Amino acid sequence: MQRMLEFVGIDPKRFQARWISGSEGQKFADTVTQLTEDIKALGPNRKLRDVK
Amino acid sequence: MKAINKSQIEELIQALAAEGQVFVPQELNGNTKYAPWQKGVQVILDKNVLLSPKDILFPQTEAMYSYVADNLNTAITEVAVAAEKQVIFGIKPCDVKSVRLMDLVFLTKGFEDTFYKTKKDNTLLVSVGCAKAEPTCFCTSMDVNPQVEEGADLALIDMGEEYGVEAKTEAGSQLLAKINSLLKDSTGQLIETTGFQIVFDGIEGVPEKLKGMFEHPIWDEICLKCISCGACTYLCPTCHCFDIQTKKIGKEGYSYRCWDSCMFSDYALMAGGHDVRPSKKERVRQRFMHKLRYFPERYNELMCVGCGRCLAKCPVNVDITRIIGQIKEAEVNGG
Amino acid sequence: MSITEKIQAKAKELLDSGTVNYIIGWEKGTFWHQSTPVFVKKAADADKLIWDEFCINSLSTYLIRLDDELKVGLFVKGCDSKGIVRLIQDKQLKREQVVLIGIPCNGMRNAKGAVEKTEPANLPLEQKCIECVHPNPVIYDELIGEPVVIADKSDRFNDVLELEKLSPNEKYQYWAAQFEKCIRCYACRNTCPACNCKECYVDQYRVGWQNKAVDLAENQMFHVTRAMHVAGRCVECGECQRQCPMDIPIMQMNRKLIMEINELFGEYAAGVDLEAKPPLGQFKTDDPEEFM
Repeated sequence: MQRMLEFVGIDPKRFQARWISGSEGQKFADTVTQLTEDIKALGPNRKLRDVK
Repeated sequence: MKAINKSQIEELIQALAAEGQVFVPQELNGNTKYAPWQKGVQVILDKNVLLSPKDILFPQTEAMYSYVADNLNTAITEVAVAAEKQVIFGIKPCDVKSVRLMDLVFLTKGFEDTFYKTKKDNTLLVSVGCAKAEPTCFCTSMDVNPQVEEGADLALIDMGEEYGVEAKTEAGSQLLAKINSLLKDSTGQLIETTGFQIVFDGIEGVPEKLKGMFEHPIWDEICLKCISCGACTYLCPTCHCFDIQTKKIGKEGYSYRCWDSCMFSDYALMAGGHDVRPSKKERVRQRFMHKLRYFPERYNELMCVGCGRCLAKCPVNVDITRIIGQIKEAEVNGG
Repeated sequence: MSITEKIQAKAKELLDSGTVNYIIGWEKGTFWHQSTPVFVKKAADADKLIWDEFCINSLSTYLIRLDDELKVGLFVKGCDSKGIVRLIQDKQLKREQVVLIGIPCNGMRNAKGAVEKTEPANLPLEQKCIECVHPNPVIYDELIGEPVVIADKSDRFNDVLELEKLSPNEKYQYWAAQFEKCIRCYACRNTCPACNCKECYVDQYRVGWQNKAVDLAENQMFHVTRAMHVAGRCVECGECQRQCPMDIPIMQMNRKLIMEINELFGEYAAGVDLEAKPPLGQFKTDDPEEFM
């Protein structure tokens, strides 16, 4: 998916996938927190889904 | 009659630009279509373009009203219909007739579609006739004049090195007066359009014959190779079916209408799950009935103008001209 | 006997013997440079069937979820046969339901632009045929004609590699211009053998994956999603791109993903081996896990 997005010009870092079990609550929380920071650091995305 | 040299087309368009935004047939990203004119753009006048100007008067997606819905507090705002003056230059006679047919749908029989009307009232049509037909053209077989059709305000007729210029409406006469300095007097003759590879007659009998052919087995055969895409309907300059949908983002959204195709498998699917056209047979039959029987019954005009776009682009070569031939030859049990 | 004559004879035989309910092949279309799908139900109509350099349509799309009690005779080139394998693997068709007459293919011709009738050999090959790596049917009950030598087409990913050299913004502009053209006719989806879902996500209006509005954002969503949905299952028949009325280079996206899947999971050609499992439809313990 990342490679596809990169191919059409979207920053692949905006899409991440993780495999987390329902019982790995801490890992889930940590991952989402990290992901949120990573995405915020990239700035607003104006590509794809441009809202009319 | 009045005429203009073909070499002066750019000047003519420049003059038309005073009337509003001018749409001209041109190539964009490998597709030919109508788009706003800019100085230097290569205007395509020697043949028709792939995307008809239907989209200018009847956009593929058109917002109607927007809303904000916050629990029980709802506010609805109408989307203002663009009322800017515009000119469609270079529209071919087949497409001119298709605009006339769209007028019948959107402006007559007791209801005026505001969206269409506002745009149409502010649009001038300056047509350019054809001296040479494409292999896929068959307008003459559908009772369309390849040089000039009723519905244009100003008509340019191909006379070789120059275009004859005729005002067809009041608005056209006013326009003619404004561009008079570009025109000259000419005794040139309209060129008889050549190059038609598809020619047939007897289209007048088809609507009548179809009245007795709803259950005819011919549709079982014709429908088989269709893949139910929307290419024919979307490229067709007269097709005008639309759906109404909503786009929402959180608490806000807007309602819009968009082109729909009777060829899509879910076109006739209704709430509750009933589908009045469950298979390709019903849908393909519907398409040709609409073009060749229902529309003539309602409006006294065939709904096909012979532009040939469906014929050129159907992925499986479903050919309306061939089907018309099959209809004419079909045996119908008397009754 | 020419291939056309063999096809007609075979069709007559299959219909007369009652082995099949009907035959799907090609007949002459509107113009000299068109051959179009035809359904033949009676042996007497078998004379409609032809084989020439314009039999480009892939016929596999007509077999999706064929009624259980029906049996169909089908003429297949390499690309068509891969489509059939796709359907069988996706359980949209049973092998016993089709009698496949394979025809090795030297490539179909594109008459775009040619006005005067000319020898097909004078015309350029169809784009998808230039890129084709399976000219010989990969599955068949009987073969008509001599197998074709398979040329090395490993350079068919070149256009994808060229695009990858562009900057992100250039890539975005390129694809935005292409997707802007899309009129959402769904010819690509409807003709694709890999697109065989009973209910396509696009038609699930209530759910809201995809909106019916035709604008750049929705078009981007559609094309990227469709490419991802067929990823690993696309048989490279090229029909989507060929049939697109707006000439969108759909196969560039599909080939990009084929390239990536080859790199991540090993060389894999979908639709060739009936027994092979699609790489994205199975799990191996040595699968790359870049995201873990």
